[in-house]
Amino acid sequence: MKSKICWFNGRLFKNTLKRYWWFGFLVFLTSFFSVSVSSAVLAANAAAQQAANPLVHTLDDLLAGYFMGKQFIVTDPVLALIFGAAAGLVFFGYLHNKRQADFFHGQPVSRETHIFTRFAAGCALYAAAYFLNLLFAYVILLSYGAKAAVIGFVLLRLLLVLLVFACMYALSILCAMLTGNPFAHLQAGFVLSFGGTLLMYCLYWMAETFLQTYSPISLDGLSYGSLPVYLVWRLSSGEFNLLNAFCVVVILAGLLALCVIAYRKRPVEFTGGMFAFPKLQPIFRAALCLLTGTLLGSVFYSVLESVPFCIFGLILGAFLGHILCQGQFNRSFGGMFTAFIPFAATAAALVAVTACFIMDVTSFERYIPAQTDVRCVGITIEGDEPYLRRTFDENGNVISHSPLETVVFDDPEVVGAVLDMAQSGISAVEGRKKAEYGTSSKTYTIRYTLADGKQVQRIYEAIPDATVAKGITTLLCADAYTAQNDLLRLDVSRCGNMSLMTSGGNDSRSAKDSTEKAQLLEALQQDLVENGRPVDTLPLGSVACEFFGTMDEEDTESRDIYRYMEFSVYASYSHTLAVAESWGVKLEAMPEETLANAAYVCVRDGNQYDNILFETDDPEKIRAILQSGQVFGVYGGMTLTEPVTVEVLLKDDEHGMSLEQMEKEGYGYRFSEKMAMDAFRSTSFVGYVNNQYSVLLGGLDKLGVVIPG
Amino acid sequence: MIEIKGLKKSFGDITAVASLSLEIPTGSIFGLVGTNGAGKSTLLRIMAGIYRPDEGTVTIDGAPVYENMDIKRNLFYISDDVYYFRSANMEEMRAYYKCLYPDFSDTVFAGLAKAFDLDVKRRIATFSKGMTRQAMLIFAFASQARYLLLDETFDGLDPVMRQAVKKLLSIGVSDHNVTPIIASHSLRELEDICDRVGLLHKGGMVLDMDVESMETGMHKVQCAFAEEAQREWFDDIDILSFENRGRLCTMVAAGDEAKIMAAIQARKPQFAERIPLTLEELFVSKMEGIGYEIKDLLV
Repeated sequence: MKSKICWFNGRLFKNTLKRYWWFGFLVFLTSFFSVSVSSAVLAANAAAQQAANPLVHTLDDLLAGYFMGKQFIVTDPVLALIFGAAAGLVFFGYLHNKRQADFFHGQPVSRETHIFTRFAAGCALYAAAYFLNLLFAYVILLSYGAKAAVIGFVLLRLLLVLLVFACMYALSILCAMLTGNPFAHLQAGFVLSFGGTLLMYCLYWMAETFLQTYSPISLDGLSYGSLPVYLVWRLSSGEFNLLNAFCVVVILAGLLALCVIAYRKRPVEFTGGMFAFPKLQPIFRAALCLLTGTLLGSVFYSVLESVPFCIFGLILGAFLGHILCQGQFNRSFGGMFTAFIPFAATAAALVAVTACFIMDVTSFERYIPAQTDVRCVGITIEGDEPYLRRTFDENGNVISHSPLETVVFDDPEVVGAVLDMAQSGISAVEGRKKAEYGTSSKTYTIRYTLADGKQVQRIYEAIPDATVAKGITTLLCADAYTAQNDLLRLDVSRCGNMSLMTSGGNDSRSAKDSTEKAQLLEALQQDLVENGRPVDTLPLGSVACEFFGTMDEEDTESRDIYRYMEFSVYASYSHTLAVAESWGVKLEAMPEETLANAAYVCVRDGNQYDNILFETDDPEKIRAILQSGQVFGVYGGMTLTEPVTVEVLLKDDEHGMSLEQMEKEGYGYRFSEKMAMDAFRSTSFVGYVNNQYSVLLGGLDKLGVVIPG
Repeated sequence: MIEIKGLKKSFGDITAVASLSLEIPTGSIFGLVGTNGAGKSTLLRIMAGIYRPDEGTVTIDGAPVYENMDIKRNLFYISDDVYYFRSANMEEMRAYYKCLYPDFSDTVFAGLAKAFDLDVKRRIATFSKGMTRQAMLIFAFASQARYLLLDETFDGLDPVMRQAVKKLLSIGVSDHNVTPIIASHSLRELEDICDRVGLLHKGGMVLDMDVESMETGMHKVQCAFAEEAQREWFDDIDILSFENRGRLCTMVAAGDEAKIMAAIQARKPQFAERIPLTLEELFVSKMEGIGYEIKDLLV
């Protein structure tokens, strides 16, 4: 006769809730500050901001943004992680104490019941305490005039935080099952949190390298280094959706299943020792060595930028992990310095694998698919993006926050340019070349979609130079495209500064009030809808001016909910140009004073950047060029289809800044001989350069460009 | 009935229980005695379903104990190192046990608490060692479990309470067919109450006997001779222990009683009589017989 397995005991659950009420109280206290008090402060600030500038903000949107914003995203899941880890120690600490282990295992309660009843009790206490604070926060928000719809964010936040808590709690329970004392529990938590992810990352790398089975799902978040952090990133980066929630639930279910298996197999008699499963000791020791080695090696590598120091760090870290383990296994100081053969094997394996990574022996980092194999490329730009990009639904409500937006290009020419840029990025890494200070380098992620539908993803740093100008242009196009995306969903109440500027910068005008903002916004949105929004920009010749705008307020400290937008306004954008005309923006002519100040014009091939097509210092020719409408600004000079890039040297600096002042202000790098060469060669935008820039002009001379006069 | 067959349990290199077989009939009190580290507590933990046996089986009423909740609901284990929730009083512990034992009797609990004069609202942590034991026994009886596994139950109890507990156990056996298994070093207590006693040594059952009959094949004889007796006089019988106090000699010998008495009579004692063997003497004699004795402790 064998009794049926009981998974849950309702009466025991209630009793557990009573016994551990203090855990819920602790969560409540912490959440009171992180949610309730924080909400009150934020709501008060939001109300103050709205009072100061009612046109820029709506309270609802601000509050919804705060609720899903940075403070909550970072603080609450991190607290959930901490409490999840602590819950495992609190609710399953009896596994680490002989008296308690005897007491609980002598009772008519199955292992499964222990796990699920205590797990449910922990989650219930956490959820209740947290939800109570969310309710407080909700009431506070309502009292400040927020719409009742904010409750959606409240519930979503509850779900997010609960999932994070539950996953970490389950992980901590697994640690309790595997270990025999609290210290070993914490170490196992470290190994499982970080080691599991490291292992997954290695498997991912091996699969892509050796099997060429490109991962159908993005595992890039694994580079965050730990399962819990990955979960937080995954759930709170604005990519939260039902599929992600389902994945997390599957992870949670897997962890609980492992807990049940481990508990069934767990020999109670090892309570108090380091491991409940002595056979796991060597595996744990190796895992800890690998992790501590990797950690120290990474620190040495990033701080000292030296491969020998990295290897030293790897070995030292592995050694520290080894003696820590041995000390616990043998429970003596002398015992720390034993079993050196396993240590040597682990350290050697670690150094060998790291060397493989550094040397990229499998060409993982250098892998670039053949252009013919690539169906399209997706570009995700990081670096100069705002902290979070907000996405709105058709009603203007925020539906997600994400730091990233990926733009897909399928034009073969663009794909080719992106592949060239990737190659340049790889060459820069191999040559240990870094972007100089002040150079507008960009970190970007390319996701190649191959002909067979598989995807592979790499991250590069693009250093602007002539050879990758087209690729850089693509990045900027992607940026402009996402800006257009944002603008299409923008409500006038969220508009910050909005202005139009001619491409050469010769004239500009900002919206003076909300009426003008609404006028410009409506015109731009109409034009974007009517003209379509090709991913690559239209021919240079059709660019009429540039739009610059911000949405929401600029918070220079947190960069929270702040988005800067800029993109080209084409000649076909009739509504916008009509606005520009009504505002008196001079689209055609360059101001007379600018024309008079121009000393030299260089015209370059837009696609072959080094190829100077024409240059002159003849005032008449300069005037003819500058008045021809062929001089354009930042984005005008960056379009893929541009015929030329025009550079103008002015007699006097636009801002009247002297060379000494420029150097004092930190622009001195432009004037070293080498940098003059580099700066000039890599200049990817039209610049105004006066005759005082002698070194730069010297650079031009070295390039073989004859500077008249 | 509890049936143990070929039970083995090791902790690393240490064998705690080795090939142990035992049957404990329902409705009897079984005493478990043994040397330090003999495996008494381990055996009780295995019987309570805390430890999983390496080999062999432990069945209660024909079903294995380990992870069998139907069986464990009829079983109550009190450890030698009693645990209770740190801030709990007896009332709170009662609520806890009530969640686990469906037949938990509030009436029995209240009655026994009153009989033992324990304040159920007082924190158990403030109880003395003996009071804590009493409290655990109250929970055990209130749980209505049919099998009580009690490790060092009499430890800390005053003489009056010892008698009370013994009486309680006797009532449990006679009125409710309860089967207590008591592990203890207090042989005197076990002798009074147990129906059967098992003697454990190095994980094995050295002796399993009925206390009433003491049919162990060992005999204690007290005799006096004209001169001090010598052990060598009795080389033809199996002497387990031998002690002289002047001309008075006390010995425990194993074997046929008639043969032992004949050997003694052959030396013409002034008197010789067989006296009852206490459980403690039996224990000491048996252990000495298998080489477990005080060795050079007093230098």
